[in-house]
Amino acid sequence: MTTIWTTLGIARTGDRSAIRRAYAARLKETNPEDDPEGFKALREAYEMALRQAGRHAPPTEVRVVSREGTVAELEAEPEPPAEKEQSAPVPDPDMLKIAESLKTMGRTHSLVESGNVLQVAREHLEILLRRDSESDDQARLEALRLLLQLPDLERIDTRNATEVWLLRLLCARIPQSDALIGIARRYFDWNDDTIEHRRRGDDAALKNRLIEREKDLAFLRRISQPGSEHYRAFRVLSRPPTQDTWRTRLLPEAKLSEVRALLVRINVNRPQVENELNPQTVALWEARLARPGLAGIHLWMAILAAPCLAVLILAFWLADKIPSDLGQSAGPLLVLAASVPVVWTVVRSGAILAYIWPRKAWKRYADTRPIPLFGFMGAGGVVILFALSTLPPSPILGTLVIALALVTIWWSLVTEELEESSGNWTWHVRLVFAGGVALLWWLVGLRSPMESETKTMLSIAFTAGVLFVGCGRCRALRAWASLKPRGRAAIFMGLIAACAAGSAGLWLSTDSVSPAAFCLVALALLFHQWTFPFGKAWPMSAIGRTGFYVVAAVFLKWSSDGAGVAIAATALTVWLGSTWFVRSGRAA
Amino acid sequence: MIIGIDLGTTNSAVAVWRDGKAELIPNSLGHMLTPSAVGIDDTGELLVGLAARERQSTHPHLTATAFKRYMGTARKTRLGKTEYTPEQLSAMVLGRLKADAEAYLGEPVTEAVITVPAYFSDKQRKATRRAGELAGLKVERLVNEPTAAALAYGIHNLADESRFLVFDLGGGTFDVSILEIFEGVIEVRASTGDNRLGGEDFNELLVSAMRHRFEKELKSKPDEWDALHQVLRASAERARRLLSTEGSASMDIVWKGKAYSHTFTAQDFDGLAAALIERLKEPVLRALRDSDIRPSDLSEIVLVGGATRMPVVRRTVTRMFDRFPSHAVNPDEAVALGAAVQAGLKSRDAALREIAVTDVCPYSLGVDVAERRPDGGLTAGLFSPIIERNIVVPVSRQRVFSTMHDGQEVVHFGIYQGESRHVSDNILLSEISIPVPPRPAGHIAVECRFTYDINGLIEVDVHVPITGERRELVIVDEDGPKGDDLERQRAALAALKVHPRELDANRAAMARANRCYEDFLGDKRALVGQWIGQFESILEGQDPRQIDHARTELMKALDSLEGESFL
Repeated sequence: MTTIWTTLGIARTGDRSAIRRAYAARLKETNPEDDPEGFKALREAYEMALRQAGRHAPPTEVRVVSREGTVAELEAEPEPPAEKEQSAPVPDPDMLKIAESLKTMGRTHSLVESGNVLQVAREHLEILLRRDSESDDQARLEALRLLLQLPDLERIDTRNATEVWLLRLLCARIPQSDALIGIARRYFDWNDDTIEHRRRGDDAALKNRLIEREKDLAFLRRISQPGSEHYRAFRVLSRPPTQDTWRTRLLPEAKLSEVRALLVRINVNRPQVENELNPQTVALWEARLARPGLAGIHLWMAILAAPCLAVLILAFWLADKIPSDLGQSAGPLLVLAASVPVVWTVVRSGAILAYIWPRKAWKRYADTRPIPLFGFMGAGGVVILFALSTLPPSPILGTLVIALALVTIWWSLVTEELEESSGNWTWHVRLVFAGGVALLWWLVGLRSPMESETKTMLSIAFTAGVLFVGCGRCRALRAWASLKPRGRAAIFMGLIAACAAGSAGLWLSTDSVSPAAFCLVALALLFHQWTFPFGKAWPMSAIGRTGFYVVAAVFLKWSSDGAGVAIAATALTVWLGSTWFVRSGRAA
Repeated sequence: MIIGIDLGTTNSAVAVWRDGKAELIPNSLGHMLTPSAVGIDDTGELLVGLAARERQSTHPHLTATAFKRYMGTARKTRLGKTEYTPEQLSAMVLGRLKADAEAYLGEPVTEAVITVPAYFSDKQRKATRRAGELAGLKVERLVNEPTAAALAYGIHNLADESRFLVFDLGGGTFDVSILEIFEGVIEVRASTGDNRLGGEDFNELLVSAMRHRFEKELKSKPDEWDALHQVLRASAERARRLLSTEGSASMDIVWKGKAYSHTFTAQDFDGLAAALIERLKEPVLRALRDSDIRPSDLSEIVLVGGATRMPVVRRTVTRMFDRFPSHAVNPDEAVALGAAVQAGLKSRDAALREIAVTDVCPYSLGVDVAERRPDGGLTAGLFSPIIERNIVVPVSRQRVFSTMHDGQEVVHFGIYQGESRHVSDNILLSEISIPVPPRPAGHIAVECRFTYDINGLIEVDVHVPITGERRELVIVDEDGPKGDDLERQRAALAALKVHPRELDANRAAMARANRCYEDFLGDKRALVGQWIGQFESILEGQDPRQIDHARTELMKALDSLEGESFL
């Protein structure tokens, strides 16, 4: 059996010089030139043997150590090796400066007289760092600069000893030494951008600690700048917790999402920074973020929702009572505008409030049973909604439809499928969105001079579209998703072309844009938003928005009234903004 | 017979191991050093060495110097009508050295050991090897310059157990090596360096100071930049050498019939050089760190390379180690002598039986990897070293990696050389891919084995144990010409009409005189013109003895005019 010792040709030993002799003797035969494989084995055996012999220095080194002193001794002894060459530099201006500074601190040190500048400078810095006051930063910087300028440091021995000393000192005195890390790092070239693979022991850990500390400080500096995105969250988190009142809820200093973003960033990138924040506040905020609670914005919406609802009801009422032009044109638009915050509020706060328990229950259920059923139930609500919308309008029916829509939206929220890794809510938001559009359509239809057949057609088309989009996990869409991008693009283009052709045809035949064509365009838009074929680079939300401006334009042509145009455009914008808000709020 | 060649940035030298010792081979001028300069004479003949260098400032478009700095790059230099790559120019110098050796040894020479800076990258080494082949030399071995210098130094100090540091600041590169000698083993413990730092950079300091001083007067058109730069550089080199011995030196140039002069004191120069001096420190510290040796353990600091003659460099070294560096070796000749020792080792010379040399790989070699961050994202493009720098070569090292994605079907390795944690800052050498069976992330292990052989050849072997799939790759010379092309280039170089060797001395003297003529104005110029006329008439007489005498006289006269000539 070959062991490292048979390779070296000696008996097992801990004697380094015997190992070296054996290696040297074998090397003459096992030349790296002629026998590379043999050499590799020999070298490996040699290195292994040396490692086993322990990390004792060979005799020559021991002698040297006793002469020069180790790093530890350097720290203890008042005589660094540099003293030998610095025989009599007493009138050194740096030295005088340090001596002056030491004296003002009430410390007369025998070293000042000894003429050993480096030792004095080191002593000086240590004293400065031992004091807690922050106002000493300038003095500390000055002291370190003086120390690093000393000619003694050109000597590698001294430089290395000073480097180790400084590493330990800076690490031990971290809050006080903050300002000094940058200079020391640049001077000694500590950086984590190169691979350092030789054994560096504790020094490497200390170096890393300082480098990380410097980065933490830079991060802290950045987030405490008033212009920074995390500024408000940082201000809140670094203060002791304030009492949670209605006032602070309504006018919070930092938004929930801001605090969450900052905490996530700290946890992921700079865990040490958390020590700089107020631990109590952080704990409270973490608890608050852990439960889907109400943020200030929800309360605002709830407060606004009440008058909006009143306006909504008033609009229904007025629409019947006042036969004036105002009632004719503004009625549906008022309805439209007022219903936006209502829908939004219910989606945001109502659903979240009534969300925790049903969702837990659903989760429990979903773990044991196939899930799609629940998705279909959400879609089913939408179907019923559309079926109702074909009936002749009446206030009771309107209320019923609204209630049903809200339930549907709530249900879809509860049964949503949140993809674990990416936090992707799009499918579900799309369903809510579709439901909302349907609802609006129906409300608009209340006052529009539409034929009953057209309305039915419209409703059926929408139902189909929403079903298609809403049950996103059904086979058809999966097949669609499995298509190659080129195929998807082709189908999509075909669809758009068909819509355009259909619209043009209807335009020519009926001299008004048919709602059917319009709904086809809307359907295409909804559909393509879900799986847009041209890759992710395309700004999807922009397309969605553009699509709805198109919808708005068609709608406006149809309503043919100046004031209506303006109000409807505003309403649509608000609507779109709110859906965007739902989405971005979720993503955070 | 294998010769040892020191192919330097400024000067080159050739030596041979004979009768138990290394000896330098003089060139046709009797000098041990041959300037690494190549030029085209007015007659279209190829000039190499001193004659070419003397024409640098008078014929900038027909002369190339310091081309070693561009070794391994595609940069071409135009000489007359043809463009040459750095390796072609180096091949011309090598060809001349080969001819010198053949003349001296009286036998054909076909094999050589060539030195390269330790910190030369893989590409730069391959280019050097190619240059040797172009010159018709079989390159038996590329030796690191500091290792060669250490061989020249250590061969006489084999008895003691010692460690020493070789500080090699040449014309274009800077190397630091730490070596240990024990029991007849010369072991390189660490090599570091900076392959873009050398005497030329110090010249550039003076050049830019001069340009700054005469900003308005020396404003020139872009097509004249090169010519002006060559004039300034030649003058800066002269001034810098003078500053090594004198307290001040003046830099004199003549540009467009006008003389410009500025005197630099040694202090001025030290001030200018501070930033470059700072760059000398880092490699020294790294070598000490990597070899795990303290400065106090070193028995000697050996200075090699012409640029270490600068007092500011010597002073820095003295301060760093708190002692005076060794004068045991001639900084200009040590590398060539060491190359000859290596040649002797290679040819199994009896006198070198009891010596073994081991060298290291001066840079880390590894592959790129991705890492999963705590937040679940991937950080790609990180460097994972497999062969770490300063490991004794030849060496094989293996590392096991695993797949990163579920169902991953292929593992791709980029092979890099460098020290940065991000591969984007390292040098991409090659790439290799291997298919793996699709499994969950982390379930497939891929073994990656690197082998670095004594000639610096890198082999990569990737193996998937679960399927037995294996891919091997030898990092070959991708840029260089292959087969026929190499043969064609060699033929083209051989076809160049070379200035006759025996007339070199006269050509160099003439070139120097012509340069002096342009360097001076007024009376001095007239005087030099007169001398040139006399020398030319004697050359026409074709009496060798008379010519030799006249040449010596001319050189003396020129020495008195501008100070001694230097190499």
